[in-house]
Amino acid sequence: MKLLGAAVALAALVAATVVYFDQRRPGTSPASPSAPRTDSVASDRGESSAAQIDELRRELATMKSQAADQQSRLASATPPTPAPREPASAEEMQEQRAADLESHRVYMSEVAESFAAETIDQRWAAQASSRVNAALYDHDALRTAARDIECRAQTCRVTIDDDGSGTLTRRLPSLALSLVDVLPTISAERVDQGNGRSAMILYMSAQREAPPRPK
Amino acid sequence: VKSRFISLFATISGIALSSASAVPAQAANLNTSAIGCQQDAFQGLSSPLTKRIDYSDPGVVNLATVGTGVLCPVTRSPLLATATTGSFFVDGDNYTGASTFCVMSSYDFLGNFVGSRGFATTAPRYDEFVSFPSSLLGVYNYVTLSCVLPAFNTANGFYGGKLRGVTALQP
Repeated sequence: MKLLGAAVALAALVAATVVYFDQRRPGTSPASPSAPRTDSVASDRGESSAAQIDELRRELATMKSQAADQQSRLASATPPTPAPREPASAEEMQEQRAADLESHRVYMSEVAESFAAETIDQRWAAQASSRVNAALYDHDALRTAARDIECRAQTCRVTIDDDGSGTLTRRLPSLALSLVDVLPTISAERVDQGNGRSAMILYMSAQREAPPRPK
Repeated sequence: VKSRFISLFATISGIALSSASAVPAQAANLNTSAIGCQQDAFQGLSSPLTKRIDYSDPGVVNLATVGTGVLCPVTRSPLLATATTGSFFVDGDNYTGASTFCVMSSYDFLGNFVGSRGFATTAPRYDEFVSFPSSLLGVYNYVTLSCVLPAFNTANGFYGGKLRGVTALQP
């Protein structure tokens, strides 16, 4: 009796195993029990893979089309964003620094030309000169170093000799602060005096840039 | 067959990633709090106080009964190659009719002062616009903010004003 029970159990296990692997075989399913089983497994797998590759190819083509469309819309909707002027190597850094110095030199030559073309408003020039002199007088380090003060209609030019100690650079913001209510805009240029010393030429203007738009 | 699948998946993933990163990054403004400001070594008016400033988050205030100068760092990024100006907003408060004076200075990489732009304000809450031509804001230039903070008001026992900070506009 025990032997019969064991045989029945073994037969049931074999039958279940056969059914299980039969259902997992490609090309067959419980929903299509009458599907032909004459094709080889390799052939089934090959056809399935080919179908999947075709489907992937179609998806790839669609995605390529969408990507191209997106790039096209971006290009037409927004102008290309220029990269910041940030060099990547030491050589480019030197080039950038040279370009910065040249840009400053060109700008200062324009400021000088503009000052030279400025007419003279005697009243404004007298008031502004008085303020500049007073501000320079308040700064011990600048008092004796400043010379050639000239004011016109909205700009004053001052030359300040630099002794190379760094005092001039340290005191310039303080000088600017003491004149900010009348001459809020300063552009400066260092010039070589040819005797091993340099001087700073300051163009101090009453003009201020207006904000482009509310913040 | 497996290698073809892998190749196709790699191509699809590459396209998906490249199309996702095609949107250009927007530059962000840079805000610098005035709690980084320090008392200027050079003061126009003397005070018995050695330590003349204090920090009231998020800003700096004057403890002295005379105006006190402070120097502040300004964080900025290189301007875009097409930019013609570089701009900032300086924020703060003036209490009971006090005045604040500020100057932003630009120095080249050699330490040369190349220019400054400033303002004087009595506005109770100011948001002052300061702009430089790009020729004065080279890639390696340093920008500082110098301000004279209004005196401590002994009548009401309160600060004359507060400097909150500066915003560098990054177009």
